[in-house]
Amino acid sequence: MAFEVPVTPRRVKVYELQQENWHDRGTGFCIGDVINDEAYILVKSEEELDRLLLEAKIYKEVQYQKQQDPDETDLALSFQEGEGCAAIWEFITEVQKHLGLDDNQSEDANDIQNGSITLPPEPTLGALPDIERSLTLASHTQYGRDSITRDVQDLDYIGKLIPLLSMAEDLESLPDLHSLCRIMKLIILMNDNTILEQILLDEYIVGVVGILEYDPEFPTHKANHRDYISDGSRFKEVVPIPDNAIRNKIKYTFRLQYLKDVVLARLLDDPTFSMLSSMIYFYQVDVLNFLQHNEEFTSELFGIFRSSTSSSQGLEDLRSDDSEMKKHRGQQTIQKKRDAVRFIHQFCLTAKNLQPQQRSFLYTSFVKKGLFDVIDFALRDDIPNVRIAGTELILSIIDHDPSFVRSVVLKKANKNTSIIDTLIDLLLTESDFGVTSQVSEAIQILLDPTSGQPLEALRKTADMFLRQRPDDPEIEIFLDSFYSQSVQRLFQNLADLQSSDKLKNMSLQVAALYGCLCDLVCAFIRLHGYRSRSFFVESNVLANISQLFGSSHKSLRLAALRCFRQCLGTNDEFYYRFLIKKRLFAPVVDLLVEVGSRNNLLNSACLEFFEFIRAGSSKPDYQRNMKTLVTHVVDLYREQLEKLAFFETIRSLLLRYDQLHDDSIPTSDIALADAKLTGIPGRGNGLRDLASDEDEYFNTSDDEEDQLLEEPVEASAVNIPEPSGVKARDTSKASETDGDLIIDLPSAPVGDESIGSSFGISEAIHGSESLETVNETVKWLSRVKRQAAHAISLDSESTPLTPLQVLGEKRRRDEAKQEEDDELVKLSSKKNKSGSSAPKSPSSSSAAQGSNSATTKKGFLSSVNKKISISFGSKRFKDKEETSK
Amino acid sequence: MSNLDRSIEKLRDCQTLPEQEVRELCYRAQELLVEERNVQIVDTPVTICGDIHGQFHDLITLFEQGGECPDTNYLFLGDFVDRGFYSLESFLLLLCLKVRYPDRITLIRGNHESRQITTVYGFYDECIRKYGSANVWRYCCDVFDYLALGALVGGPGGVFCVHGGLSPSVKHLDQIRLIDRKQEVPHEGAMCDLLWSDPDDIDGWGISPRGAGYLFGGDKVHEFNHTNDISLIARAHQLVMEGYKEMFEGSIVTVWSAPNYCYRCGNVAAILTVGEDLERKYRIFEAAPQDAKGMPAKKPVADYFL
Repeated sequence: MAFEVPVTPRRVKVYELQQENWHDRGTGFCIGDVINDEAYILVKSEEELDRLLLEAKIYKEVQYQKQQDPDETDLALSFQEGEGCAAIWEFITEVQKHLGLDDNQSEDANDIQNGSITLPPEPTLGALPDIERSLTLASHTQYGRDSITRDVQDLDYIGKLIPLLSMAEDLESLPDLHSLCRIMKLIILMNDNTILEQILLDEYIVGVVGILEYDPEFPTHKANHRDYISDGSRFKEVVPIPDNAIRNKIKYTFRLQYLKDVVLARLLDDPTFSMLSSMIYFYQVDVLNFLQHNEEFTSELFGIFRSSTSSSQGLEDLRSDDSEMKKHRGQQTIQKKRDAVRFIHQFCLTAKNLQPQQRSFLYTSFVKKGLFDVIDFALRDDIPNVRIAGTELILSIIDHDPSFVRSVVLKKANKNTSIIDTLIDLLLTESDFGVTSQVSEAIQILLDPTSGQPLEALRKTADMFLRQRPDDPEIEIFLDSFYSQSVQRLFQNLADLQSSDKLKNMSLQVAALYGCLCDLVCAFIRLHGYRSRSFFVESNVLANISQLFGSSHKSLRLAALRCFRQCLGTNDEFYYRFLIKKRLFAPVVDLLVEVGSRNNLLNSACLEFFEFIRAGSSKPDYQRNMKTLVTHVVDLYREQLEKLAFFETIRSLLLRYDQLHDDSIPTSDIALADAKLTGIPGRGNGLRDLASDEDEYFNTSDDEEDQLLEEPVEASAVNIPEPSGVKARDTSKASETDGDLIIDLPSAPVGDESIGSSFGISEAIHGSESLETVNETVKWLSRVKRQAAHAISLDSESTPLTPLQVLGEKRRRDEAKQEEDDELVKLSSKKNKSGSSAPKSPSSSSAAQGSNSATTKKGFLSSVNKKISISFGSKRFKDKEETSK
Repeated sequence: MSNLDRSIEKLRDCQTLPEQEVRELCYRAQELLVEERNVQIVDTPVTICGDIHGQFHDLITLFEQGGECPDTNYLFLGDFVDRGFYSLESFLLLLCLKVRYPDRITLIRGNHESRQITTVYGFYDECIRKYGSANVWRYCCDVFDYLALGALVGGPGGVFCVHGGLSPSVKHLDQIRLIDRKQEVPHEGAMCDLLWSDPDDIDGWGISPRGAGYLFGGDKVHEFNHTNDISLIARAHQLVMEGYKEMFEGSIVTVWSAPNYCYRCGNVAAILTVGEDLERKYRIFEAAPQDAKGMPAKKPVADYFL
């Protein structure tokens, strides 16, 4: 044999893989040996020199690896010194070379060992299998990937592969085409920035996507990526983009997106996916920055909207003017404006990815240029899609920074109609349902005083939330102006609502509008405290909503019911007195009677309504008001309700009434009913609650129950259920369910809190001495209640999101992401167990001692698939449980 | 052939419906769903299916395996959308079938049938891509709010079906009736728990790593089943490599119906048929062969300016 046999003993540790663990077989001295023309690696024990720890014949089929971090191996040698490792390694290599000079596989093995996988310099159709194999092998190791990507670049390999496509197509050789496609996929999955950038170039992209059309996984299917990519008409330049590099970047972004979402959608691994995404991001940032700062460009862009005719005027011109030329020109201008709207729309949507400061800067500069004129134009356009673009445009700014929009609106207030009026007009006249709901959403966010608070501040502490918000003067002015003018118009339809047949035959369109209005009523009750209250009460809006219970649209009846339910949730006495005075419980009772025993959504919503009153009547913070309501409802509607007593809720509501008015009723019945109905939504549902409910059930004696019922309201501590957003910040804390927040309020000048009277607190207040105290009290109360109601509404209501909820939602998203990840993680760990095993290697410890290791690897060419399947999520699999055991 | 049947045909071919048709369909579905209970009563025999996640072609396979819709009764446990490339077609097909054969198919809500979740996990983007605006997404989300929260199969001693699992605030099934379900899935409370919770090898209740809902142990399952006179809880919500998994002496089962989840997880899917005598029959199926389903890909953007 023509190679040197290492005879110098090298000190090594021998490890063997048993199931998933590496076992130390002992320390010894390693030499190479040749016996009967067969090469061996021998390790003699250090303690008993006669004992062989290892006698391993060197086979050509066995893959040996020299590395720091072996996996999927059966035996490993850990050398004390690098030199020893090198010598034995050389021995193995030489022996294998000797054994398999004519063997292809062995060459591949050599390639791995030497780290030099080469591509045939001139690819031909005949060489495709070789190329594919080389790439596959190279993709296994980082080293291989690096060297192969260098080759691909240096040899302009992609450029050389592309001509093969037409050759193979001419020959109609499907195997070659599939092979080409696999090769291209492998090259892309090398995940190399430079290669990806190269692919995007004009001279490559068509060829590359052409190759990718022949996906071997879909042999009977051929995509037409080339047509799509080559079709330049999809790219529209409203205003010529004055820079070639930027225009190219736009093109590249499009190509990247197409690659990511269409061509490679199924086969992208996580690293390549994020590589493509970040490339897209950086291109976009470049483009946005360039265009935004190009004075000439933006001036021309926004200048489009300053040309003489607005959309509607333009159209009128068309009608009045017969001149064909003018007509044509008018249409052109409008078309151009529409395109510009779509352009700006896309621009702002893309800008959503920018950093917050960059976005603020962008919006500020666009607004200066006349962004609101653009929106105004868009909102009044005849084409629904343009209006949608307009509303999305304004929503994107509002979402980013509502207070900014408000301040702009306020500044412009004197000039012409403000954007909020435009939105209201649009809402009331809009025929496209999508626009309607979007506009309604925009109005709501714009008028939400909690929106536009910097999230950072909210994140800090929960106190931030409960402390009186630092009054944002702008929102106050904004709301004042809204409630002094616009609100009337917005809710005119509801204020004018008359009981009539029209309600019965309401069109879908009108019903949808009323639905939106109801949603806005709910939101404003929740958000605007005394402002909305006085408006809704005085304008008859709230009273008229009861008419909607007569609608044939069930969704509208539900929406109307929700408005009243929202009032209940405020814990605001003024609402309750109004509901009582106007007898607004009647439609709810009637509705429940009507749906009767039919178990459907309307029925559930009605029952939930009464359950809230019933359960609230024994909750400290709602008790007083709810007792008033129990009394009222049963006093007036006892007859109907008794017919509905087969509902547990109604039965105990009646019982509650009797109990409130007659002390002789045994309370155990109530306790029982309570126990049966515990855990209704809206009641804090933490773990602690559960335990305490149970305790209550088992421990509450009649006496205690009595005491509970007679207990005066604790006015100095408002116990507010923990808002979700707070919990969001710190799950570990929240898990203790001790997060209830207590607002310490100055002992208030609240008068006698006698219970059981059908009159509430105001009577008590009026009984106190001076008017001043009364006024103070009322102010104070409304403030506290606003806060409390707001906090409570977070708990039990879920309509539009306040920033805290948004925070909560953010967390939810993260968690949901986590959830999905977890699913994958669980999966991958499962795979690890059932499929190939990837035990921890000993080298991590031995490497730490500064020794190198040569590992033998049985089972040559561990399949590519296995590798890929382990690779995702494997970083995180360590401490996760699998889903199924 | 009615409009509805035409729509079903179109959807079976995985074509998108015009926006107007979607709107009409969603409206009809709402009017239908508003009449449903929070916990729907379903007769046996019925075939219970877990998460679909927009894997349209696998949904078609599911129907091939389990029998076409009006012939077989179906109950879907939610999570129709997100993740896969055909959330829209999958959900609309199910919705069409619901409107066409209301007594033959029951749809209950999963945690992904929510505005917040769909904006993150793909359904929203898919609608934007396919229609250029969020309108269709809005229509669908409105329908989500009307979906039932659970179902009771086979009366006393039967099967309680829910997407996630139990809630500490629901001891009796009757309590679920007191939920006004027409709302976005809340962040806590009974409705949230039903859609988010998971069974786990613990005693009692535990904090869920998902940040919503709870973990619940075998004791809670036995207690719940005993109290409500049911023999089994059928739920989905968690990937199971084998398609289904019974836990706690067969008192609860997870059914997963999205084979090769996310087109790469390599799992099989299962459906569970509950017979007239409440006997359980599981059927396992694999992802549709690649050829049959055409190329799953997201739709490219239309015009672009940037």
